[in-house]
Amino acid sequence: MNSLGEKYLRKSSLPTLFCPGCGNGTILNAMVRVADKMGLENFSFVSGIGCSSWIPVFINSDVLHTLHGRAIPVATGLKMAQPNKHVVVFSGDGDCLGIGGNHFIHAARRNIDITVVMINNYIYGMTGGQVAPTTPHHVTTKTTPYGNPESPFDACVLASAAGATFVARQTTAYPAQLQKCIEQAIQHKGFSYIEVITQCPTQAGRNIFGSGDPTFLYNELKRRAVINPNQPIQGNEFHIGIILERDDKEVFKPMTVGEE
Amino acid sequence: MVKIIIDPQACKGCNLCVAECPKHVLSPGKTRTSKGYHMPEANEIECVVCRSCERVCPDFAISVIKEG
Amino acid sequence: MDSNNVRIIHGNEACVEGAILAGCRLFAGYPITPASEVAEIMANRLPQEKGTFLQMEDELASINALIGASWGGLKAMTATSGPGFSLMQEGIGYAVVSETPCVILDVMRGGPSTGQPTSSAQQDVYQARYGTHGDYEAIVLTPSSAQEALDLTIRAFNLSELFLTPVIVLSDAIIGHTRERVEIPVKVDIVNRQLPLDGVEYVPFDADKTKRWIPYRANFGMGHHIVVDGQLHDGYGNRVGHIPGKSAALVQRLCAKIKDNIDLITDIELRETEDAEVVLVSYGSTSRPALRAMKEARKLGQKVGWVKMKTLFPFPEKELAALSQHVRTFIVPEMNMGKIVNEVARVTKKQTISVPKIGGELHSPDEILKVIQEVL
Repeated sequence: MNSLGEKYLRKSSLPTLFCPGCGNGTILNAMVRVADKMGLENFSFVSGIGCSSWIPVFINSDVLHTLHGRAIPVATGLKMAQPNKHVVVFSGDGDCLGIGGNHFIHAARRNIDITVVMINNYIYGMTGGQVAPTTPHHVTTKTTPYGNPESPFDACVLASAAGATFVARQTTAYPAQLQKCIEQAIQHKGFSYIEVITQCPTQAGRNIFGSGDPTFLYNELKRRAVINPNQPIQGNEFHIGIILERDDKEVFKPMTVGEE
Repeated sequence: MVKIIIDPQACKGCNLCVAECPKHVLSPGKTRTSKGYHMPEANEIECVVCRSCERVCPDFAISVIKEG
Repeated sequence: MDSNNVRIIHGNEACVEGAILAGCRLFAGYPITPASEVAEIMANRLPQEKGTFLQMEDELASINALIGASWGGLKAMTATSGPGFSLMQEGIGYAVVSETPCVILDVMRGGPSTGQPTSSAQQDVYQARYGTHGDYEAIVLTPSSAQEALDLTIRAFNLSELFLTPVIVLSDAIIGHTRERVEIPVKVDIVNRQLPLDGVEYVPFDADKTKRWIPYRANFGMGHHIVVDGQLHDGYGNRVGHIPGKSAALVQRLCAKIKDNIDLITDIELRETEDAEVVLVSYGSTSRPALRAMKEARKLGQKVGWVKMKTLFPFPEKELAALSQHVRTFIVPEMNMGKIVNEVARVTKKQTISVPKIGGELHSPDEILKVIQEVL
């Protein structure tokens, strides 16, 4: 393992349970680099259930690996108790937008000062490849063997509408930009949300993209990512970059009486 | 002098480093780790120490060491 | 304890005052009849005590917010009734397995489902013990008055800090909304989770019998880099769900942590049981008409005793088994279709009569006295 891994990973939890070529490892890599720069002692991590929710478990830090969909309320309670820590949530597309959707909407509305990294692989990976709220229309998955009858939603539009004050989309196919964006999101005061489009060779790769080869998927995500916000997107392309950033909304602070 | 070291305990042979390297220093290799993964090979002379491979590696398996 | 504050308040308010005295500094809840006053009064009181009040979007968020707050070092509480209690079960299970101290108040109402929002019941007693999936032990306290609502909420926090586990306080709509004289102490004895020792390797999720199976507890931010997990884990928090022996070991320790320490937990009141032939076994609201019925029976010269359980679980087996040495009949009045009566029968192996009552009305002393007459 390289020196960064030696310094920051929780040895007793290794090896990671990620498949070969899984984008979650790249996100772990990016987060560790941000923590290296900002000081790991300033962080607490919270995650739900799913492959991507294992990301912070491998970091040698205070980590709450909680219930499916419930990372955000746990992070809210933790932030109230320790407001001086950077609380970063790792949650998958099913965890955050499916079972956890309600909590996500309200934390954004409240503008709680936490950072949510939502790892989107377009599928429920850990349980074997079932349809997710982000799975494209008509796609075949384990629970949509005749084609997905539902349409997905755009998590970043949802976050913006719900009241998030920092919304961005990145991809594991551009790790340097991903790292920089994570740092910006953490620095932002208020509810920060980054959707990270991530390759999942075993489930999304084979079910949705037609290939389980990590390199193929990586290059495909690179092709689909559009960096110029003014360039219209076609087909299954997606914009990456900061979509919304505002400081005109008050950051959530619980009620107090008298002087601080 | 650049040395590229890949940890056979960590590498899962995903070849993302091969895909990411702008100078095509890395290529799919034949050496197998004890878990059966094929580790990439490195043509160290061509390396410009951009460290993109270190950045993308999901397993912290690759180290680019610049000596001298 | 110096008590110099006497007020006429209902059980819901008494729970709040008890919680604050015990050190509660975060409440996360959701409105539900008949518990909403707990949230409202907490919203007023906690900011006065530099605490945090959160009205969350639902009960799922509430129980989970407690977990985060607790690992951040705060004593945290929520309050709900049947429907919300059902929603919280997964979170309660997580708190059990992750050994997270917190207090859950269930102000019971008629069920099932939406049931009877404004009527009282004691129907959630099994849910309090077995509500979440898996093998586990539960600490469940049952106050019978506004005063006990205050006292037992304090005890709930202390037990939860001592045993690093969630504690459930079962109140009901009658206790929650009946205003009574309550003495509010100025200061109470407080138990805090035990911090790890300096110079000794800290194992967050293991302890042996010499420590009563209770680990030391460091909060987040103390530099111990703890990973908290709902999956069965080893002493360091790493998953062992795939390893049978280690999985079983954790569950066994968590259960032993409560069962082996029952002597520190049981809180039970016995009156006139030494010579009793018949004993009324009661808890919560029904203990009050039961007490009156016992006294009326004694006036008639009948040898009747009365037991009030203030801890419902772990079930006070030792005390009831001891009574069964000389008592021939146990009568169990409950505002449900007969639940704890089964525990009494199991433990005493003597004649056990259920006096169930549902629909929302509390037993009258005469109803219970009548059953005593039938039995004698």
